[in-house]
Amino acid sequence: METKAAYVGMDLDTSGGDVVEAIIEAVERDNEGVVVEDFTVYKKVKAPGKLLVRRETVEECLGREWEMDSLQLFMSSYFGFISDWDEDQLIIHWENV
Amino acid sequence: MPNYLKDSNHLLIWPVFKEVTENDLFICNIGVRARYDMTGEELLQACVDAWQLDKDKKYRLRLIRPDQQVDIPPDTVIKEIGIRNGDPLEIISC
Amino acid sequence: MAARMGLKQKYHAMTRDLMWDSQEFDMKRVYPLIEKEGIILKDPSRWEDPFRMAYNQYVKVQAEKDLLYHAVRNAFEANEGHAKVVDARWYEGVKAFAIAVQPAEYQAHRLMAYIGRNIPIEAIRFATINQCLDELRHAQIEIKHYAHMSKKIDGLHAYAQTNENLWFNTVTKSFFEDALSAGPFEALVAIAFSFEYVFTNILFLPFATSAAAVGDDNFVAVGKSVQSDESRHMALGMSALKMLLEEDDRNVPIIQRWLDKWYWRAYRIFSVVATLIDYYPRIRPISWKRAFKTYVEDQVFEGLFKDFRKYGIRLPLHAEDSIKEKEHYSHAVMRILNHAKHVNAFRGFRLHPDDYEWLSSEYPDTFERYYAPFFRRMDDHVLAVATPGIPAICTVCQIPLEFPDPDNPTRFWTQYSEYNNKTYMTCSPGCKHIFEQEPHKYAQIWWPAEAYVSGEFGENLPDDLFKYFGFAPEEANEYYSSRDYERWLQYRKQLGLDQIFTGR
Repeated sequence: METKAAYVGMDLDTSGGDVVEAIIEAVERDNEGVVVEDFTVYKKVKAPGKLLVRRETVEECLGREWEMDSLQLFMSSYFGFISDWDEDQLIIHWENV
Repeated sequence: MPNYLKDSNHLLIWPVFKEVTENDLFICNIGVRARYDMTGEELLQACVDAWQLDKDKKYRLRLIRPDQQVDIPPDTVIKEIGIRNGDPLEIISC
Repeated sequence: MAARMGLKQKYHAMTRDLMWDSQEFDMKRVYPLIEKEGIILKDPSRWEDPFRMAYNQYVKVQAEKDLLYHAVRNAFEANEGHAKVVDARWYEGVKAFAIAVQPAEYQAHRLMAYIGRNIPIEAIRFATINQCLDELRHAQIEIKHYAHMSKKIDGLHAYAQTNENLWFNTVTKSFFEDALSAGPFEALVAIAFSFEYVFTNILFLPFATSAAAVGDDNFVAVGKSVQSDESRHMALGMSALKMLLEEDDRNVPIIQRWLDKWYWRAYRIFSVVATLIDYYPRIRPISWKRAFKTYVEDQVFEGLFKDFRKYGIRLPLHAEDSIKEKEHYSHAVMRILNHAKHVNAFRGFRLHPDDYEWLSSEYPDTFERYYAPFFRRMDDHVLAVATPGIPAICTVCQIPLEFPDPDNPTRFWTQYSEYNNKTYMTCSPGCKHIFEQEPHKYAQIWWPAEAYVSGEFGENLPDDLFKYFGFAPEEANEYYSSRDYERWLQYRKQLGLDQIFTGR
């Protein structure tokens, strides 16, 4: 029997403007099955089982340099385990997939 | 600080009018002062007064315990019945 | 030139190398609580905080957040923001938030200091000290918010006194006192996991969305500023829990017991939040039912708990009860608030046709059938539903005992336990279970209802209570018949906001 992997994801504060838009676009490029839900003051971006945010992709979408740790200014909430967060990438995942 | 319970003859009981627990009003038990030397009938009157119920109607009182429910006899002193401070009671229309 | 340190090395250099073991004293005396709860630690130093926040970075980020918040607040206050919300009954809900949440933030800062002091693991220490400061920041920006609100709105002018003495607030206080009087690991699971990870999302995300929908930009900014720290708090809760489960198998049953207790404890303290989502906003972007499904059922039960199965952890004991209760929760709690609205600092209110319509469509199986008749009783007389006396409360959560059994919604869910020759009442099987695990603890509660009926604050009830609560009877009761509503209409009129422009 095939079971669907539970989503992991982030709630991003839309006050982040173009930065948050770029993060969402980068997540859509680097992950399969991404779903974005709009709750006006924040947007929920989620993917089944694993979600990768890459600094290089965000910078490409944004058109300027961007630091990975500034993500926490806009990441209001998340679900899943953060297994890796360094200068280049962030991975959120569930271990059972 | 004044406290009614400082007198060893005093206790608080928590009656609820059964009818409002079964309709949409859904109001729960309220605190009422009592004395251990009251009779069951006197206790019932105190509960009816607190709930502002129609005095022309007849009611009876039931003690609620985790393992049993006991009808409170009108003529017995409540200390003898074994009513304790903090006891929940139900007022039931006859 | 030395190579620049990466994030990981920098974090290690600034946190890990700062601890030392005491040379002069027995470590068991320095950390007297560390072995008291039965938790076994083997090599906790491998535990990492994924945020890797060092102090200089913390201060920089937090300062930015505060500046941003105060800029929005100043603009809102200067531009008569209060007059512009779609319906000022919203502020009655914000008052509930003021009374319940701000003291919780303050207590949480004490609790984080307690945890950091008693658990000698560097990464936990650093995360708890950051969170301790966060919670104080939240408490302060929230007080600043209410200071302005109290210029326009009843019920908050003796804020500290009302927080200290109002019956409603013993719900929050008992929760935090329960955690503060537990051991440090239990306190960590209670707050960092159950409170922060499972439930704070519902508090700040849907409620901030509601604030935006009704036009309260100030509250949106408060909510966002507070919530911006929550990811870090969630990370602490999740990582700490994972660490405890991985350190030793013998920790698993202890953790399961704490999850059983604190899931339900946190769930009950959030009961009023259900009304803040479903009732107080005139425009609602989301319902409690849907928020609970998203944040608790999907993200926590379906996500996190599936991952924890491999340790032998199952869902909290009363998880199923809370899922069943989502169809009833906000309505049952709003009913409780309306029973006691004549003695509360935030008002109840009559529902409008659009309210009935939204509630019926969002809750097609329960609202019209079980709850609408209650609210319609208030159409003729606002006090038609008032309790005739001082209601009994749950020995554990301290909420009046007025929750319906979700399997049988016309029946009370009240439970009875016998302990030390006394009958104790609890609101639900969840609270009964908590009571029966530690009856000696909960039998010690200061029971406000008993103190009131005993005459500790005067013989004339409920009138004598107002002096103790710190507000006047006219600051309570029903919103649309209150002086606050009249004042708000006048305020709008002066600004010309009572005019409606339509058409071309």
